[in-house]
Amino acid sequence: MIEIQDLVKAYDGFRAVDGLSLRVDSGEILGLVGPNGAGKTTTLRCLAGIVPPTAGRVAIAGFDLQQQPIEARQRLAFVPDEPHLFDHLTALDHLNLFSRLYGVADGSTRAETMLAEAGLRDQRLSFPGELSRGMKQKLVIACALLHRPEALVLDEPLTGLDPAAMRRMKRTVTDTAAAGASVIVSSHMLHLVEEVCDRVLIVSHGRSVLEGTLEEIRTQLPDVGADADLETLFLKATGGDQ
Amino acid sequence: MTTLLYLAWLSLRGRVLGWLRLMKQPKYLVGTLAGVTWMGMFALRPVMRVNQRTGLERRFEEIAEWLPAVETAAALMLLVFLSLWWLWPFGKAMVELTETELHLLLPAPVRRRHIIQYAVLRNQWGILFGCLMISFFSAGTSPTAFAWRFLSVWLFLTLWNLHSRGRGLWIARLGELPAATAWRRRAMVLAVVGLIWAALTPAIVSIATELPALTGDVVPQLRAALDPERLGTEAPLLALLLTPARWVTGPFSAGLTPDAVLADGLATLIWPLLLVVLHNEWVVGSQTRFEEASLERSRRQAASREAGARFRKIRRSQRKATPFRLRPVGCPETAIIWKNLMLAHRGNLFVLVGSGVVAVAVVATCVAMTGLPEWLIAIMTVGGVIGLSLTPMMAGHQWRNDLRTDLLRIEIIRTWPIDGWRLFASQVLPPATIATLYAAAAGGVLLIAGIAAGHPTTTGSVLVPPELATRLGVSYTVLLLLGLATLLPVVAAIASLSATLQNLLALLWPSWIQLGRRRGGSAANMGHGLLTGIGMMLALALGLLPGVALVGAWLFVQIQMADIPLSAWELPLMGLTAVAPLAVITGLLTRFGGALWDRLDPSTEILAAGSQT
Repeated sequence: MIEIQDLVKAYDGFRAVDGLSLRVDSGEILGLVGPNGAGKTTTLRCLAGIVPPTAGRVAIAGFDLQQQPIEARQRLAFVPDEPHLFDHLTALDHLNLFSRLYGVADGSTRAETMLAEAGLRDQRLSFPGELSRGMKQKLVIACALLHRPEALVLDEPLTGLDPAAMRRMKRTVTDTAAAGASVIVSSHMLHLVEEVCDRVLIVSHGRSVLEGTLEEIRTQLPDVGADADLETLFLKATGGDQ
Repeated sequence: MTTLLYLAWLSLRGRVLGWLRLMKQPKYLVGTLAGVTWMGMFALRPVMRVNQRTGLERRFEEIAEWLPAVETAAALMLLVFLSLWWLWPFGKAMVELTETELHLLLPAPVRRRHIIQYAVLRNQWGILFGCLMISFFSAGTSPTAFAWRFLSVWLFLTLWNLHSRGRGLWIARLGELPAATAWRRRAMVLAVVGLIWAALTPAIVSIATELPALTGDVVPQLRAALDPERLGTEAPLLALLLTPARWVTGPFSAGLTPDAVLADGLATLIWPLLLVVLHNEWVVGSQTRFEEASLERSRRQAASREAGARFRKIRRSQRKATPFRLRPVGCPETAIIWKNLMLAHRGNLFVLVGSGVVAVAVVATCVAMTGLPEWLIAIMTVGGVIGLSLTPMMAGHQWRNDLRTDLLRIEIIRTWPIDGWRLFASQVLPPATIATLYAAAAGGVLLIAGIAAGHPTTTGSVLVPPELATRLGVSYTVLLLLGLATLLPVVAAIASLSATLQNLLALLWPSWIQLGRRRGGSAANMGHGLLTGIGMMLALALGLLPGVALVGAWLFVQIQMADIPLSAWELPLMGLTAVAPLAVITGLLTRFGGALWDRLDPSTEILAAGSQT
């Protein structure tokens, strides 16, 4: 379970995230959407423990990220928008490194399995500089899922992927949730969010604007049809249609 | 051109504002003040004192009679270098612009000469900084001397810069011209160089034939040979050719003459200024197609900056090698050490150390039987001492396989389930380990030199007096081995402290640290180096003095009070005692680094730097 309560992140007086709260239960996928500068990435970085929040509480699987950071991080996997990898480590080295960091007992065999699942078996001895962006993204996902996280946070996971890789990525997200993990997907690709997410949270100016399933959001907004898609709802909710 | 000047102004303003913004944070302000104070106390003040003691007037008395000869010699060297340089057939059509500037300026409706002029003006920041530094350290305390030194160095560096740029563009232009025209131009240059050497050769031959006959009283002869008036009479062509080179060196002489009339001094500036204007016109008026070469250069620079470029060259068979086998379960910090060691080398650490020990043992055994030439022992001793003493001090400076590289991947490492201080310690250990290994190798060289020095055939080199070994109750070789065993923990402790300080600085002042494997040579990096120097000296003093005091107390109690003779076997224990306070300080700093890491907010400084890289 992922839980955020009254999260605030301020820089030099500017509140990038302003009292945001959310909760994602096990097996659930939440779509986090919002215009540029809405505070999505900052929220996810606070959630992953990369930047400390100014105020509020973040809990992963019941562990407070500030009070019990090791326990919380042990259960979390974060996939940033850019596939950050270590230039001097091969694909297999990356998985071995993550095995040890997260103490994955069957790390060696699982690393091979993850490489095979990601379609990177032939690239196991390749350095990141030799991989395409899509391959790097797959490797980052493989590293993230290696320790079977209870919470998975993805920031723009489809950027730079080809259609086949996009399909695999969507399947990975739904499979991870089906295995019991709480998943947050932040993306500007609204069709992805609409397709894979159970609930959607629309943020703007660091605050929650609307939250719920598509049906629930439709009922909260006036003047939208019963078949309005997420793009219409998003533009209506954030004032982007004006 | 106004637009480009405005762009240059905006860039400068942006840099200054960025710097001022940093100064709003107390840690940067305090850091700057500490750096400036250190610079003033330990670098500038001693130089100023020396300059005051040997004031300009006194120095002028010493060199006044030499000035014309020195000027001729400098002009000669300049002429020789430039003529040889023009024979070198390669040059680059290089106009130094960043990739962004190239992509924005080349398609814009801006005249090409203005773009080149903008690039030339951009180089002035570096030249002005260089002039400032040279003048500070060489001009003494008088403002007039400072101004003259600044002006003369500026003229020289600017001319040098413009000449090299112009030459590069000119040579690149030859490739664009029809072959006949290009060859005609080449022939013209060859003719000029030939003329210069026709004038130079007799002078050089004359000096070369006179050299063997020169006695101890060589100074007046040299001065007379380089006298400009004599040169004008005896070799008028050479004197004429030297004239432009003299214009360049002239302001230096004017600045060294304290009672010179200002008007005369200013007159020496007219000709070099004219040369600057002519050179500038030559460069900005160039028709060479610099665009492609500049784009290529910026692309190449980007590729060399790309951290992953060098790893692609590693052979497939070597990619399976790792410093040690990493099991999936165990302390997570070991994984970070494993990862960071691989940034320096993928070779197996145990094999490396084992083969090193075996190699030293084999060579030492052979040397013990055969001995070594004394000159070789001397070289090995000096090299070994330097390596053993300097390598640990430079650990943090030389190897950057630590937080300074990993902070670029903060979005990964920050999510790892590991305590701050453990993560910090695991970042410090790899550079410290590598430095210790290098120092140990230097120690091995020193050991071999010591064993060779102890060989019966060696008489002149003594590393450790043999009677000392007898007095300490062990053989000569055992004493050498025990000495090395005493020094190695000290070396490791100093290397760890050095790496710890560098990593602390990376967390305390991230905006001042150049993240990634490469070091920069900018003013900011110099400031960072100064701060590290202060920290190192303070921490080493704090850490080593108690250790030395402890060892001193030990010796006093044992020898003076208890009257127990010292045994060589106590030495390693003494080494460990000396290291203990240093280890405590390093441990405390590591804890502090861990606390900093836990509280670190990378949102404004590090994440922004990472996204730019």
